[in-house]
Parts: sequence; C-alpha cells; structure tokens
Amino acid sequence: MQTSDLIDRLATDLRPVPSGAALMRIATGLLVGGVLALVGILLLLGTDLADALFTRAFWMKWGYGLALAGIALWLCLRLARPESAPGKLPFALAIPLVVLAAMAVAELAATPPGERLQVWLGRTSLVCPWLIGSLAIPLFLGVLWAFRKFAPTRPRLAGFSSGALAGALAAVLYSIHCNETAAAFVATWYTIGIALPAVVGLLIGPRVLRW
Amino acid sequence: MPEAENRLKQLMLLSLGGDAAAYRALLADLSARLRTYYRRRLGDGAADAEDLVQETLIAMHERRISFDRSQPLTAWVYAIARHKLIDHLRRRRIRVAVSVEDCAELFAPDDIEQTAAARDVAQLLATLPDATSEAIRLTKLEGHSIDEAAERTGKSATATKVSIHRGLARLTQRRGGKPDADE
Repeated sequence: MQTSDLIDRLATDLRPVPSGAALMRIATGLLVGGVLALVGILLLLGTDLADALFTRAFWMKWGYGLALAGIALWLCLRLARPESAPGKLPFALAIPLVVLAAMAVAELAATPPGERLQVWLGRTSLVCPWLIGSLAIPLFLGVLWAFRKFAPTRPRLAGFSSGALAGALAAVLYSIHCNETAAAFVATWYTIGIALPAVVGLLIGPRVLRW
Repeated sequence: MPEAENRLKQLMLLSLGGDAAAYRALLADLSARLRTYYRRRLGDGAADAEDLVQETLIAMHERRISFDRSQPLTAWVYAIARHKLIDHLRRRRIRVAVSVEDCAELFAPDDIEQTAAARDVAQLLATLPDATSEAIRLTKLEGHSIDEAAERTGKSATATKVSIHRGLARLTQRRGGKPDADE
C-alpha cells in the first residue's frame, strides 16, 4: 500500500481521544478484572466477611494495598508513554513496605518472645500469598488489556508494574475476607502475594507487551 | 526543533479532538521525516524503510492514547520511531546502538555530519586503510558507482570492489557481528 493511501485510511478512522483516556482505560480494565476477582472471592472463599472488617488491622491492609496500587498505577501511566524514563520511581514501591515493616517490628517488639512466631505466621500464612496471587489474575489481565493501546518501550518494567498494580488491588479485595491482624503477617505474606504477579509480569512483559 | 514541535503539537492536539484534516497534515509531515530517518539508518533497504514508515504511522494511530498532552509531541514520535527501528533490527538480527539523544535528528534540519551515526561511521572508517575507507566513503556514503570510485582513487574497478568488500567485512567483524554473506 502507498503511504499516502495509508494516511487517508488512518485519517478516516480518526476518533477523538479525550484527555485522561489512558487512565480511563486502565480503570476500565481494573474494574472488569476487579468484578471477576470479587466473583472469585465468593466462589473460592464463600460469603463470610472477615471479623476484622473496619478495624485497625483492616485499614492497615487497605492503606498498604492502596498505597502500593497508587504508586504502581502511577508507574503504569508513565510506562504507557514511549518516551518516558521512570528512573528511580519504581523504588517508590518500597516506601509502603518500609513503613509497614517498621510497624511490624514495633508490634513484634511488644509481643512476648514466645508468641512472636505465631503472630508472624497467623493461621493462614500458607494460603494467603496464593489466594492473593490468584485473585490478581483477572486484574492483571485487565491491565495488560489496557496496555494494548499503550506504547511501552520498557516492557519488563511495564509488566512488573502491571503485576504489582494487580497484586496490590487483589490484596485490598482479599482483606475483606482475611482475619489476620498482625502487621508482620501483612508485611510478609501479603507482600509475597503481591510480588507473585509482579514477578510474573517481569518475566512475561517482553513477550506480551510486544508491539 | 521548537518550531516543528509547536506546529506539529498543535496539529496533534487538533487531531486528538477529531480534526481529520489536521491529522492528515500531521501524518504527512511525520511520514516525510520518518522516511528520511529510516533511510538514513537502513541505508540501501529503501523498501524496508517505507514499511517501517507505515508501521510507525499505524502504531502512532493505534496507540495515540499514550500521548500525554502535557508532554512534547516530538519526543513521543521519536520514541515510537526508535522503538520500531530497534524492533526491526532485532528481527533482522542486526545489532547496533541507537542513541536515545537523537530525537533532534528527526526534527532538525538535515545536517548529517552532526548526527551520531555520521560520527560513528567516520570513526569506524578511520580504522581502515586510507584507500579502503575512501572507496567505501565514495560508494556507500556519497553514492558514487564503483567505476567512478575507481576512477577517483586511480585503481581498477575490480580492485576497488574487492577492497570495499574486505573493508566492510572487517568493519562488521570489528563491531562484533558476523560477516554478512550477501554484503
């Protein structure tokens, strides 16, 4: 095809793009993925809500998950743009973890030494990361769908950020169902659950975000 | 560059608002710049260059949502053009360095001496014997025929051809690649 014909075709195909369209697209992907994840929670875990709903531990989990999700979303929006160099921005993801780890240390220090292991492991440490990782799948697919209209030139980092965003929101959803209350528990097992999709994204980014 | 940036960004903003005429003008302007850019980078593969121009236009069209109105348009276009070039070279298994700072090249007036590519080539050619680098410069960079080059260097056409061939093979080896069979 002649390039001039191509230009004609593209101009005919032109539809307006509102500002904030990239954010809207990620939000759409997350919304659809989030609904599927909620359905997943109901199917996998039943309808009982956590006893810890709206307690201090609950808000701690939400604070941690939403802080990570906010930073990851910001990263995703940066990496959606081909010319953007995120520099040290990815390391900002460590900030919520450091804060939570400090809380965990303070909490463990106030716990009698004999009970510390029990506080750290809780009752669900073995299933928690896997459930968060599973719930992240539809959210992750939603973000990757959004990236199909983006122009990431750092696919590894974009995959990592997409996975971290999906994992962090999956953790927020999971907390509705989780009765664990210790900061040490959240700092360890939630973090591992969030890291699972992020690492998957890091590995598959160059393949799935190719364009 | 500011002149091009201002004018093209204005066209882009109108295009994002749905103005097809502005979009057509933008794509026409960019396709000419992209053509020059890819031809310069790919040398003889002019058909490849045109394919890449079209691929880049399509990518910009399909992914125009990734353009941030608060950012320069030229940087966005250049990043996509560079991405497509690297992807193309990777598919063809050619390894070269594509500078990140060359954005100006796409939007600056034509002065090839100032581009990093020209500097690289000059540096590489300087590592060859004078007669060989002169023959390569005349034929590959300035577009003279083998006969014209032979006339200027005072050698036979065959000798010129052989010296160009060896010189290119040596450059390829020096850059860490394998000598190309059809070079």
